[in-house]
Amino acid sequence: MSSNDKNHADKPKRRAFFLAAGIHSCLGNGIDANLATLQQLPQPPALLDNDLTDEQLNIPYKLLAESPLADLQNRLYQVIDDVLEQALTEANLSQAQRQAMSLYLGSSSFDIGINEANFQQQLAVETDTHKAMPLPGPSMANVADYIVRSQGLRGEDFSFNTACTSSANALMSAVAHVEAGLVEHALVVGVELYNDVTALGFYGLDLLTRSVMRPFDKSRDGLVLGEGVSAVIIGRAAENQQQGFYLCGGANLCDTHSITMSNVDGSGIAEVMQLALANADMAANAINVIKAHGTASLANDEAEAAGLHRLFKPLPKVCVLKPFIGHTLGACGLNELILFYRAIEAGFLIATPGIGADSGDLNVQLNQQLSPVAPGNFMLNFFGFGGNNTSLVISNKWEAEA
Amino acid sequence: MTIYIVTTGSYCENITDELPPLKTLVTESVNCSVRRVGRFIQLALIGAGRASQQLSKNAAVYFTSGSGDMAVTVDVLNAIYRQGEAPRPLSFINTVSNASCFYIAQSLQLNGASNFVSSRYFPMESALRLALLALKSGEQQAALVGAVDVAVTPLADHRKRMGVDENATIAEGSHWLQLVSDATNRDVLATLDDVQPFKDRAALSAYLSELPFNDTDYLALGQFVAPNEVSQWLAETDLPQFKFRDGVGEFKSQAGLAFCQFVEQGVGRLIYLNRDVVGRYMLVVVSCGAGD
Repeated sequence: MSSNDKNHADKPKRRAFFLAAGIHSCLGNGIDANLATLQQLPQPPALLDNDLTDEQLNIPYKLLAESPLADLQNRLYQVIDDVLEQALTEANLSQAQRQAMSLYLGSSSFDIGINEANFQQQLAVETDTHKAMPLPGPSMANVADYIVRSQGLRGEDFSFNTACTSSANALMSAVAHVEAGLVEHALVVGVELYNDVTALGFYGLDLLTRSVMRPFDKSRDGLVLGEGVSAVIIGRAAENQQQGFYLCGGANLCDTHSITMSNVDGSGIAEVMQLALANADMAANAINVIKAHGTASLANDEAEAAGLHRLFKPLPKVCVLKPFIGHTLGACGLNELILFYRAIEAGFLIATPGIGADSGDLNVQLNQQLSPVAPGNFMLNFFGFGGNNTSLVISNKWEAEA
Repeated sequence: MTIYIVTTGSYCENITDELPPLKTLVTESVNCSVRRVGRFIQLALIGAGRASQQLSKNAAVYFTSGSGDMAVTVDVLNAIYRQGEAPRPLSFINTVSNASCFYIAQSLQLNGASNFVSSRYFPMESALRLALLALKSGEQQAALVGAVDVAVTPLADHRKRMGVDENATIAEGSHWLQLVSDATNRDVLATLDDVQPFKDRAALSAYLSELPFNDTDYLALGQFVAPNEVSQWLAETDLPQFKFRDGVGEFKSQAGLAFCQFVEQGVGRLIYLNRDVVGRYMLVVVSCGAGD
């Protein structure tokens, strides 16, 4: 054990663990379905017809595997109900424990898709005396409010809206509250479903590719938007019952270089990763694998690569999730965390054969082969619009030390 | 550990007809001109700027809103579905609420953490809750915590969105507190003693029954406490009411107004409580004169 690992092991023992999870992505509905598809090659996106503007568009998207893009007024909540049930069933909490949970929800778009569908419906029957009105019940907490009511929660609820770091930031707050003893169990939820604002907004930014995303690859040419809803239950383990994965550190910083991207010199990204390591009481060489943000856009990958090279010499193994599930924006923090750690628990590290296969112009080579991963420490990066940068450090080392 | 309130920053205006221009106030508050931002971000800059004296570069920003940036979202939805236009890039980016955090950090030259977090009935209370824990745990040493709600014309539609009477007065608000864990060389205005949730009325009532009150305590009832419940809490606590809503129009994050007003008044301890529609409660305790 390195001195850094020893310091880590000497920290207070009542950590908050990832007790259970549920997910619905383009790969499948449920953990097992997602993990099975993750062991195959990433697939290109669907092209969605969009005729809302003068231009007839085909917008690339990775849609949920088992929920057709229809009945948008109810689809969001049906998917959420299903994913919550997956996580709650796996957690096996009592009814009283369920109700006492606090909720930490992260999303970029929340229920905007429902608002869009309702507005379109109103517009179809609009008259001079009865005008359609967009956004009749504006609140970022509408989705959280639904979960509170449907699950009968009596704990607190927080809705995070920090772009692509939303659910990663939600997770950090949830873990902090559980570890501080403010709540016994935390329900962390990431939500991102198709909506026209996001689809047209990203199309307008010219950030989309129509093929498989190729992060850090010399032929990278943009991102694909993805849908995903996921949930994790966080809870403290009793003394001598440490098991599984837990968040051992994390950091969030606002990089004011630009509202859409970090400084390509990597300084802002290196700073947040360094702070996350400090928060985890670790040196860079204690990290075994990095799950990169990897949006496959020219400048963002350049910035992340530069940040990685500033801090890690040499780079540990690097892997990415977005070629598989697309960029699930505010939900990517939780979606990618779940797929990453559950894949390791299932015996493999995410691999993207043929993507980032050589070092390329950014000198970042992605993991190419499915292989078992020893218990260790893992960094997960998430960066968002508004300069919101978050880096998490998770570990399953207790498993080995128990 | 004691958490200190060292500055406040407020903007609160009732809207009678047209929305008042904010550009000059923004420039005065953050000492620079901020271009190409909407009203929501302007309000955030005004309040945050006014609370930013001696603000540490590493201060974290905890920003909240009851309704978010309604103005930009309504514009984008109208553009797509009425005009058949894709959202302009900057408008689209600004639909993400933490765009405001970016402009705050850039204008005040901050590079600490930033969070945009909300809760339907407890937006300011929830932001304070996160900030208080981060400060007490040592994760942060300074935090700028604020709430903004914007009005959108036509006001008749805005009233419908707010769920208020068609004649109700509408207001815009931006209310901010600067919190620090080390008040050395700072003028302390107050301390943030507690931000605590309660699962139901009985739990809050039991807590309050054990809380020793004194002659300079006041009770403030949040905007979602039903009128018939106000008298019950006043009777139960036997405290004078701190009325912060008199003459103030409707907006969704009025807790910030309560805290800023009380701290600016500078005397006594505020016991603030609010509730949501499922009967959960939030308690916030602020004490003035702690630095005397």
